Amino acid sequence: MENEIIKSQFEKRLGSTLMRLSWLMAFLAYIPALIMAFITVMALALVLKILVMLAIVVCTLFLVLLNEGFREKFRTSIDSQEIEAVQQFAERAYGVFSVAMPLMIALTAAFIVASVVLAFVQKEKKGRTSRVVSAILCALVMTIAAVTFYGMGA
Amino acid sequence: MKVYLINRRDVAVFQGEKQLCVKRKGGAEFVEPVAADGEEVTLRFYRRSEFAAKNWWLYVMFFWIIGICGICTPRYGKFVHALDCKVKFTADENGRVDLRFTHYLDEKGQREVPAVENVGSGITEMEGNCYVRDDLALRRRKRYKVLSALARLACFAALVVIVVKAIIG
Repeated sequence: MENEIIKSQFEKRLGSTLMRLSWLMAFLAYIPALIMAFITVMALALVLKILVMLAIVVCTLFLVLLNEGFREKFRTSIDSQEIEAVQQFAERAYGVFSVAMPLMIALTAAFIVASVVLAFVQKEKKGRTSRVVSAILCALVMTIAAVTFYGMGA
Repeated sequence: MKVYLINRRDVAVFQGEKQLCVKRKGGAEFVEPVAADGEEVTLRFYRRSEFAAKNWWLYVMFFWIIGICGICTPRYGKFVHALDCKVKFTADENGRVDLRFTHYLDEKGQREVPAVENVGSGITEMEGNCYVRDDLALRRRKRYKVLSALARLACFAALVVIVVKAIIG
């Protein structure tokens, strides 16, 4: 009896842990997309900054260009060193994720399957439906992350 | 025959040595013991904490590691006390038995709260229907919490050192 209880507790805990791990993987898979979004937002902000500066120049009938400080600001805005640094970081992150992504997808799939199987092996029917729903949602989230990643790569 | 279990939580149900499958229908939990009409059935309601097991430290360590410092594994319940209750009744094809569970242990010994209560009728005998204090499991749980917190701190410190070394190097 005691062995049965321990086995049942072990299966229950293992299933829940694997489900949580698969959710963690699914969220981690969004990191490259987040980096890409960050770069896009940064580039947009830079363009906006330059446009505002141009508007100031036009509004002041180019007189503001006589100011050395403003000219310096203009120059540093257009300077591409910052963007290059961010791009390099993004490329490095992408390199890491291009290796890690297939592994993450495979692990998530394995964890989801194991978790669902463990839920159905147990003698308690309580929590089976929620486990299946959670598994479907997790698979969906992971699929979207994978499609986004490989879509961006292409 | 169905035995309805109200507020059961993690109490397992046994008939002899066999664990019964707890079914659910319309939010109600029940078990269906195997017995012929008129036969006396003995059900055993059993609950033990995960910390009460012999190799509890191996168990918790395994889940601490695979759960990434225990973050991805469900929390261990605060209520660690044990229950071993035997319920006897006569099987009746058309009858039903309703049992209500209370998960409470009187720490001060002022009043005894039964963990299993017969709500309807049909029960002929019930023994051990109160939770038994499990101080060993309680101590183990406390020990696990302290060690887990310390180990998490150590892992975090190690991670910080590795990251700082990687940045400097």
